[in-house]
Amino acid sequence: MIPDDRGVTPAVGKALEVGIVVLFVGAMTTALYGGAVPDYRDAVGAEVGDRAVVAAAERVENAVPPAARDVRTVHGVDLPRSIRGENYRIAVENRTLVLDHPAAAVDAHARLALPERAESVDGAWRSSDDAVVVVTGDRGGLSVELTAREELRGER
Amino acid sequence: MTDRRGQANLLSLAVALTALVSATALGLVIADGALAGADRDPGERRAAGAAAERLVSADATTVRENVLDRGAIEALSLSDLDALAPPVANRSVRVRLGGETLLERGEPTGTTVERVVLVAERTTRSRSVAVGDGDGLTLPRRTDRVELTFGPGSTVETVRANGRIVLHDPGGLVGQFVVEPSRYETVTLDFEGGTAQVGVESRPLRTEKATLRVTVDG
Repeated sequence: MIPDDRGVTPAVGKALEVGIVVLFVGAMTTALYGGAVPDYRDAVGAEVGDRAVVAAAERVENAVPPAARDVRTVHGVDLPRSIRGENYRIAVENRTLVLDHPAAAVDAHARLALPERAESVDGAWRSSDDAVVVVTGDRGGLSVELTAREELRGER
Repeated sequence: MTDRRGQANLLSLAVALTALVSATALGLVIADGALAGADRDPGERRAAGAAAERLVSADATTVRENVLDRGAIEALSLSDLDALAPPVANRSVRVRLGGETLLERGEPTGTTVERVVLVAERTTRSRSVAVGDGDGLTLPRRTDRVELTFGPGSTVETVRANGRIVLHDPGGLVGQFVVEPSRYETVTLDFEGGTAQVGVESRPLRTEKATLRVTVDG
């Protein structure tokens, strides 16, 4: 009996260790992915969303040229390909850039400071677009449009 | 003997796992710190920048780009500022020009954006001179607008500004005229053809350097 028991001991010991390590890894993974990691992803996503919208708003403001008789400008805008691993939209609502993202934690908006001669501001970007700002108009008024470069069909 | 050997093994495992847990916890603490360090409000910085930018470029507050109109900027109200730069609406804001505070809402302590600007003030200079044929008159300060009033009995036929004819009447210039010379050079008026008593009113722009500071919070 005694020699038999001794023969089994390493197997039991290893099985116990493997079990404990598997349990530990499971508990650790659950703890991280159940709490800490999504929190961090939310926090970082919100931060990136804020900055993306602010950078886009500055780009839109800078795209408006001084008063001139005939204006047509196209400015490219760099947007992050995805925020928090998901696609999003940036749209203009009432002279405000609004980030539309599936995650509730990612939410940002920036009011645009444009000269009065910018009469209309509209359009939207999808994160997959090659985003551009098109400003057209004359001395009387300007129209600012957010669109994708593909929509311009080669005209600049 | 066997049991104790087995316990010894588990003990080392427990120590290893404890070390792993502490390393993870330390990692989380560091990640928290890094995240807290990266957490700033880009909207605040943008609001300050946009307000300063609009103040120095909007037609309502400037004479030309980067030259503030003192009268307009001193008459500016908080609602005017909100209309001019919508990002500062609902935020604490302070606008200082040189050493004086022009506008203040709340007690902002956040981002400050500074712009070096010129502050222009329109001044009016009037004088009355008797001119004869061939007389010249150099205005002491550059201006883009001069009002000439020729008294009755004037026989002056031609007025030149820096050699260029700006007024001409063979029958004698009588009444009030506005001349708009270049603001980039000092103007010399030459009177030809006769004599007159002329009222000269120029509106030179007096400018001084100042720092525009916009502080925004929240």
